[in-house]
Amino acid sequence: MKMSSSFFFKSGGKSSKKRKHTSESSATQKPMSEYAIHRPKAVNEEILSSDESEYNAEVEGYPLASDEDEMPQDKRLRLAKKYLSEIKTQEAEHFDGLKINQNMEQRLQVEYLESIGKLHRNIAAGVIMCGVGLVLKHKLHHAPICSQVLSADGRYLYTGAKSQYVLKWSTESGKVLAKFDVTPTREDHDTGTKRRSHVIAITLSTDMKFLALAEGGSHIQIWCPVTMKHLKTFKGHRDIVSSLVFRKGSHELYSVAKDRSVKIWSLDEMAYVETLFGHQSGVTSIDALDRERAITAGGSDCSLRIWKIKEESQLIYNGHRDGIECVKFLNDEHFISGGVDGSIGLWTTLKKKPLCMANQAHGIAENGVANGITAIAVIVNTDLVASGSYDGYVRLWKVIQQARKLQPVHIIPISGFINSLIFSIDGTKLYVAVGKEHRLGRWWRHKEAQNSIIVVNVKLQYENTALT
Amino acid sequence: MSSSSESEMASEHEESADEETQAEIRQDLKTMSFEEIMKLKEELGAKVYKEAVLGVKSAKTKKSKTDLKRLNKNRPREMSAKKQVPFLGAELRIERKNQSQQRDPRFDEKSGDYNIETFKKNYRFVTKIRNREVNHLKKKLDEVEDNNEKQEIKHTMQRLINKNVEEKKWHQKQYTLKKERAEIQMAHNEGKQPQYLTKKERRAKELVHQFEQLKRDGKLNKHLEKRRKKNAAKDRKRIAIE
Repeated sequence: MKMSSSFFFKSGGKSSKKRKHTSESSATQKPMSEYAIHRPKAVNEEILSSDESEYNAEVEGYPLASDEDEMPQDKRLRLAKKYLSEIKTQEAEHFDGLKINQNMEQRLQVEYLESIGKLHRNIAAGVIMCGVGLVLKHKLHHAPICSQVLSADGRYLYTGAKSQYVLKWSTESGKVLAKFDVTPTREDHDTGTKRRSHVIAITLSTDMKFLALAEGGSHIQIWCPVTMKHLKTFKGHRDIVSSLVFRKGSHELYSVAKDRSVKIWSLDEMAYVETLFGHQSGVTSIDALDRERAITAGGSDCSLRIWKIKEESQLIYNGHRDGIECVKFLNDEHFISGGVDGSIGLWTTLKKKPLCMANQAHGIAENGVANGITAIAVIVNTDLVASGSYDGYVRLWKVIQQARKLQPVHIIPISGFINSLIFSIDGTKLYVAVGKEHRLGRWWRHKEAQNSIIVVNVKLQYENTALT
Repeated sequence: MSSSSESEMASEHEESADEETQAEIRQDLKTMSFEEIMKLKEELGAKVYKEAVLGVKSAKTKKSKTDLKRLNKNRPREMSAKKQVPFLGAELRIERKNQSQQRDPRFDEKSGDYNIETFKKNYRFVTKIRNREVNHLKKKLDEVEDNNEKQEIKHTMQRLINKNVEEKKWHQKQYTLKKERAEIQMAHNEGKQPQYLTKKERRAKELVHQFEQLKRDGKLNKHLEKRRKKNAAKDRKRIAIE
């Protein structure tokens, strides 16, 4: 097992690139037996030639650089064969005959998917228990916490609240490492009145080079998360910016605002790229994975739209009865949405209607109105989903795609408005941003809640990774 | 200068930029300072700027409706992402404007049945409009010189005045009827026997009222003259027939 993981990832050395190539070629290759039958001679010849070249080089005293064109390919071949033989021996311990090849095929596929980050794991069934761990509080965040973002390696957490400060926390120690001031007041360019800054959206690029935040107005501020310096302010939007997201592994920023538009910004050039239209009411949330596609939740127009940016078109999904608050990609083909009427929808990109809709997922309040979903979190490429509202519980759900169901798995009692939820990458921790008020306004207050970030430790029992 | 090149760029980025237009754009950009170019780029967007300056590389065909047609009806709808869309409910607001201009109260069911009293009460303001019209026509009469036109203006003035007089008479009559009814009601309340008026009595009251009115205004003599003439003419006719 160890051999296989190191086979795919090795930092440093020329061999890293080549190894990746061999892994890909090996994944698409036919099973071991066929390989062995078809080309035994060629293998021997190639080995001979490589040995020869090495021998020649040594004898003549020339450096290997002259024969390097041959070397990498031969080396790749040699490593691929070694890898396959290893897997075969490992499988041969358990199974015999034809089954070896089938298992090997499956295993190669699994490891390949894992290497590119697209392996689906079913972990929701293995949630044993959830216990509240650290509670992160700070006097600069005495106001309700509105937004949070976790760095790609999971070591740092940046949080924004209804105050002008953004705090950088270390997730291991739970201590504040740094803070920066996002202008205490911003000027409302329509009326000219001064309003306090509320950091209602934050996002980080995967390589930790840029941090983008929405300060409650129509401007987007770009900061460097490492040096804590302000880089630029983007001023394109015409109304309040409600959500931001970076495309994974790139420096493209997607932003949505109450003015019904989706804007794309390139941070490599620090410039605005283009605007996409289509929503009929202010957009409330946006999410994106590594493809050039973004999904937005359209607030009161009850539609979700996937924007194909290269083709300049949009796919429209209807099915929510009332407004939609938040949306997250579960993997490239599925996504989860949460609505104002408390309904959580499971969707696939190929169907205009949801696969499954859990109505009134967080119960009904005393006045007979359902508790709306305020936050959703998802571990990408798995089946575990968390949803938060203001009924006093964070609920964990399991996505069963074949049965088209959203099954409740666990509940965590946390009182207050759950303004944001983030899972850590391995799924062992859930960061819950709790506030006494809703992140967008002060409709009512939960006095017993505390403005803080609660770290919930999720104990998982890992099942065998099944390819679905 | 920068605004003209902006408009040029914005309009030409849709068509495939020809060599000539590209050269023109490049000329414009040469004359602008670097700051201006940066501002232009920020305003238009990096994509538009690149296309205009470097030319559209891929043959970009605009997506027609047939390109965006879905395979089956269960798939999501696909639409272009570049067309601006109004906010939800914009169509309703425009609809209402169109509707309100086209109601004819004579034929509209929402107006209800014709009731003379409510009609006269609701449209009482028209007398004021007629008075204003009469004043306007008086002024016009002084300006206009053609006799025919003067005649026409006099006719219309007379018609308007007559209409107003009729309105006044009608309202006066209603007033008297109302008073009568009030007296009868009072008599009922007090317990006495109410005095119902016959047509002749009503007519007599009316004439008395008219006489007093004429006396106040001083037009009594003229009125009596007119009446005597009329009666004389009638008598003559009667005698002629006999």
